[in-house]
Amino acid sequence: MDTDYLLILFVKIIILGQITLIIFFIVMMYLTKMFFYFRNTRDSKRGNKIQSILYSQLDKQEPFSQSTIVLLRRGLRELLKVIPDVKNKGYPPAAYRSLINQLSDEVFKPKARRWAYSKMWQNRFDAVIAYHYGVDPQDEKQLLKLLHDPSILISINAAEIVVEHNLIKLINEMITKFSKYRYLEQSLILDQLLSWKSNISSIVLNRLDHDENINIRIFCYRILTLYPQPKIISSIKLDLSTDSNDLKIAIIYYLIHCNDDKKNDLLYPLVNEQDSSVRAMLATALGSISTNKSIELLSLLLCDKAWKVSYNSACSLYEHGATGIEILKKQLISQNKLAHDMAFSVLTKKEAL
Amino acid sequence: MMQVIINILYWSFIIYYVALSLWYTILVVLCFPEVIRKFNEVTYGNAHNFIDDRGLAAITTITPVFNEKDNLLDTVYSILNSTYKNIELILVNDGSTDDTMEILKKELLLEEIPIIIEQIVPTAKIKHCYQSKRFTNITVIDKEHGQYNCGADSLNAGLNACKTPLMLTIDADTVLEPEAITRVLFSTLSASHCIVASGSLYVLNDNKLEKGRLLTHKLPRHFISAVQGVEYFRSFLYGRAGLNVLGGALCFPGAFSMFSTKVLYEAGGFDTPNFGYDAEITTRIQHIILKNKLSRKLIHSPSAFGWTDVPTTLKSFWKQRNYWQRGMLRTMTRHMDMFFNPKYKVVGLITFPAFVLFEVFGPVIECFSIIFLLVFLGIGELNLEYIWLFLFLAWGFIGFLSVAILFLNQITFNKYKGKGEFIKVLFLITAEMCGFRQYRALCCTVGTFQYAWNRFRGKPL
Repeated sequence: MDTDYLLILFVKIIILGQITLIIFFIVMMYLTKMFFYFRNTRDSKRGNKIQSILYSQLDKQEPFSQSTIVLLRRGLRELLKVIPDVKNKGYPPAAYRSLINQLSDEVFKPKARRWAYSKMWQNRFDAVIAYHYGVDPQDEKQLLKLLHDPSILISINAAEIVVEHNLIKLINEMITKFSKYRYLEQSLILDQLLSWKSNISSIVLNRLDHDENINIRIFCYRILTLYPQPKIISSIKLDLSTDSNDLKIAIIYYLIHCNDDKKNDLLYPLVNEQDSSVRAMLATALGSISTNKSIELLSLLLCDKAWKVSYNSACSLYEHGATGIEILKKQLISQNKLAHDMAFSVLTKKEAL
Repeated sequence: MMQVIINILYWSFIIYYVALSLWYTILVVLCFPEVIRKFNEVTYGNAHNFIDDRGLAAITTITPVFNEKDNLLDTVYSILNSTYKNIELILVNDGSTDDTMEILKKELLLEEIPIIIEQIVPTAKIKHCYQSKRFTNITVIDKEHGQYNCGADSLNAGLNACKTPLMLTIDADTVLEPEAITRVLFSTLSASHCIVASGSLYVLNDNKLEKGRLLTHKLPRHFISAVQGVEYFRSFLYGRAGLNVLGGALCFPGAFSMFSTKVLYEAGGFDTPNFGYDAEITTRIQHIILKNKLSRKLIHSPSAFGWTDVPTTLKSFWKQRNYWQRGMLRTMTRHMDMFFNPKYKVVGLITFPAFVLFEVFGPVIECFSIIFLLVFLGIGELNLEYIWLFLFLAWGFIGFLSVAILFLNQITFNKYKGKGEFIKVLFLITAEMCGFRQYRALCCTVGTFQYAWNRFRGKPL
């Protein structure tokens, strides 16, 4: 009986606790609604004020007062939001540059140095965006921290800064970090590298000379595909003799972008590779080499048992124009079903039938 | 003797419900930072600059279609309206008996192409392959109806035809928000070695659509679908998001999940006879990566939203839950060696046991507890005060969960913005307790017995 009484008492206390929590969350909902309204109004007013300060500074070309600097530091988030509008307002580039330099020294860098170590994602993100407007040599430590941030959004932005400012030590760190990522994330970085328009190929080539780590080598070859490479680098032959299929694929892809005639001799023997993904990449590469030998190898690869090899070969043969199309058409009466289907499919898709 | 049995049952139920409440409370606590972090990333971060503008990774969406003439085009247009553009769409017609195929042919201007699909995962025979002349990134596979009458066979056919490293499964009655694919891709890229990522689902019923664009964001008007709306809302915002911290959920929705194509091949594709093939593939992938000690992750993305149709009648709801229950039981039995197995770390010790005890058997235990409560009441072993107290306790707990999640919704993505939505949720959780919840528990219990009987007869589930 005592147990029952205690149990009922316990249940009643829990129920009371639950009702309290329900009321708490309902009250919180209304309070946060009010808070959001207040915050949005405050931020909007602050944004307008900051915008007018920046316009006035652009007109007068005077240094910021101490109180203005405090205000700008407090409203860093709004400041970062209004800067693109200010940039597009049509002021002379020199005046805009002078404003940005001043903001960078007085507002962005001091705040970013502190926020780079913040536990809050938003602060770290604002820190990295603030660094876009300028970096000092003393900021390398903070940038390294941001480069290694668990959030890919922050580390990509940090990578952009180190590449744009050509910080060699950090670029090497970036290569090491992203070489551990999988293909997809690496592609994201490569795509960004292309848009950042800074050539880091000398750093990458230097890395290839000294680093034996397979992942780093793969990533380096992938980076090199972004920049025109007139000559084949000496280490390729050695790398092609390793057991890593991923490395071989990266090299074949690199060779597609290489203008050296010697690449053909490196590519042709790969037709006997055991791994089908290497042969599939080779089939793609042969599409870019206009020699009789490559067409001959592609006709061979078209009859490969691996679906992807056969498909890539059919596409590459089509790329070779009339000769390739003729070979594909011959496959239409072939006994090899896969080769026949691939040829038929590619010819239909490209409307060559 | 009778008193001893009653006491054992009585205390077993109490311990079970305390454990259940504790589990859900932990998930609520864990989901808050997770959802807020994702919200900040997609709201204040510049992910769209990196993902949409580049469109670097080609993604194939695979949609199994069976008699979906009313919804399918909205699904297709919602995918085409996506801010992410590097998408190939594969629609797999699973032998529809209505005029789905004719509608597709007319709307998409389909043209037959040769079938060049490698049968890596076995499926029912593929009859035709078409490509759209209107949208060149759309392919339609017309196949014979799968033996087991579920979407897994169609997904496997789509998987065989998929040529991209990532594939997204989308149900034919689901529409995606324009940023959904970008956000789910961003989640995939954000977590190192994430191989599966799912989005959140809300209930589409009674919301207005225009060519795949969602014009309203409301809870459904009708009671049955509205109750499911609250259930989905809770389940996705706190259930799966909270589980991200505990090694990842074991049930990602087939209606909106992204997979690494290679991983699906390695896992052997979707479990064809399983109505709960989505839960099964997620659990199987977890099983494989933990068994082989691979550093791979399964992530739920609380920031990517899809809206899906749910049953509107008691009969169709019964059928759906019965299928799901049997599917979950099949999933559970296939991966039972993870149950309280320290080799599988947090998933083996916490997540999988919680899945079995609270998700699979939760409704069954609930059904039995109601039956025992009534029996005890009938034989005079319980007084009415007890029953009221426990009902109130249950209501209070569901109320707390729902209001906490409504609060989380308000401070983050705020999907249900209407003034009346909050009152509606409170009304629905009260009304749900008066019969609907018991109905759901009963249909899952019947499903469990049906599964046991079918297995006894040698059927897959």
